[in-house]
Amino acid sequence: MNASIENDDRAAAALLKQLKVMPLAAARERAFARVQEEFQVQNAPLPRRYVARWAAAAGIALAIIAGWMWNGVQSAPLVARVEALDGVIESRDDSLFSRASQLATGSTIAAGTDLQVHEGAGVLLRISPDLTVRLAENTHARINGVDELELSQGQAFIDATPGAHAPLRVITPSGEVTHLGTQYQVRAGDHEVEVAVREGRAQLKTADLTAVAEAGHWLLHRDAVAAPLMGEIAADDVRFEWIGTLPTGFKLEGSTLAAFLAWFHRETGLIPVYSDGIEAGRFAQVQLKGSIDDLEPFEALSYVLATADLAWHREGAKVVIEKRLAGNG
Amino acid sequence: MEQDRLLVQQLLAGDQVALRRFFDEYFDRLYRFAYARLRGDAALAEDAAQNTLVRALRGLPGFRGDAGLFSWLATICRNEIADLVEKSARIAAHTVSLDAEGSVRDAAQAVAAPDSAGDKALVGAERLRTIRQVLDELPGRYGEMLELKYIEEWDVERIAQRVGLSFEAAQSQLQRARLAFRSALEARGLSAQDLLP
Repeated sequence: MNASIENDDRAAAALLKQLKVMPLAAARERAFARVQEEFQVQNAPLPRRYVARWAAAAGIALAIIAGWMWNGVQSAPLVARVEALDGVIESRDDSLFSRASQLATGSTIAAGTDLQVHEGAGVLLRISPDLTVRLAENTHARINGVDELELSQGQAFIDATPGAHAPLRVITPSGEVTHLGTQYQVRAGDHEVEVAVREGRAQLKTADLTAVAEAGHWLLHRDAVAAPLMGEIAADDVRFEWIGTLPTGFKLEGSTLAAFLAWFHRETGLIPVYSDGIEAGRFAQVQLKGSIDDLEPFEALSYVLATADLAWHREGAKVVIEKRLAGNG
Repeated sequence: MEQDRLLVQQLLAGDQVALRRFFDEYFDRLYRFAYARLRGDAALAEDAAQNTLVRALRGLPGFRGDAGLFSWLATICRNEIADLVEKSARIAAHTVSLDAEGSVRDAAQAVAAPDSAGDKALVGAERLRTIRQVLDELPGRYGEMLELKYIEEWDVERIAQRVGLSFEAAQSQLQRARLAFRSALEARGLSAQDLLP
């Protein structure tokens, strides 16, 4: 441990020790007696006649429900896994009697599942090793299969590894978007759809037109207007910012700095460059240790570079990596 | 998380041994959680911790395991504290819940200055409250991990198991948590020295 880590350890120990107050033994026993009393009430058996009636009724009901639901259950393959989430996301599958439930990290999603992303929330879904979909807050979407997403309201960011066969159709009320190896965002609004492409190309097809958006461009189609609007968009545009709050996983332990920077580039769209005076070849092969679980890309960058005695600063769409100076955070 | 789910399953099955483990593991932690928020009122902290466990038992079937069991209990405990603060004028006159909002907090902050004997006690309680607040405001699991390490005095291996990380990842996170703790203090214009007795 270096001096700074040791100091942090000592300071945390000294401060937090003050919070170690203990309840009196008598207070503990009083509390336990009350908790135990409640526990016994919770676990008291129901009178036998009610148990028998309830058991019979429940058995009949379950048999009926199981029969009705069987077809729906067996025909819904799993199509995605929740890799990261933030806030409340409600899901509802299309089986009979389905109820809304909250998504959790690591849970799987069946074809036909409706997702409602609440305000302030977001979710990263992995459909295949080469394809992820992020859904922003206030989004309503339905995953019909591994190659089809219905986006009725809100925003989705699709990341498909270039060159990999990972097709996906995004169907909005105003048009359908497809791609070839790309990173792009689709926003479905009232009577309009917008596609913003960070990498590769995406195609928008509506009832009346077919248009292609290239990397670094956005395309907006309004139902009431014949010709789409187009414009440029930088990889670090504010419209992409929410994506960084839902990073894909990266196993730091044993990876090289070069691999980490490639991940960072994919997550943020920013280009990492080494400043003059840094032996890029040597640093690129530095073996990394530790974990960046739960860190957003910029936090992870600061943490990782600090371990190699490096720092960074932004220059437009570039992240310049430089030697760490004394006192440089 | 797996341990939490298992414990909840055992409780739902009516396992008495699991109840004792549940109580032993969480009562003291909840007591400390409440104590710092109630400015060192031991009796109220005891009520808050006890009521939390009682309410938790009633709500166990609803525990989904998305967050850790303690996070879930802490949420219940916050509500308990807010209830206690609201219900008692005596409490409102001498305490501020960290989680109390609006009129409750305003009313509590508007109380007259305590006498000199109370003033001394307040300095200590205020210090604890500040430390607790900084701890609670740390992002992600940092607060929980620091709490387990320095208050509950768990070793890194046990913490790693609890939060579902490898030993190395837990060590890294603890290091970052300490750094975040120091940064959070500095952001308030405080150093560790300012919060020592």
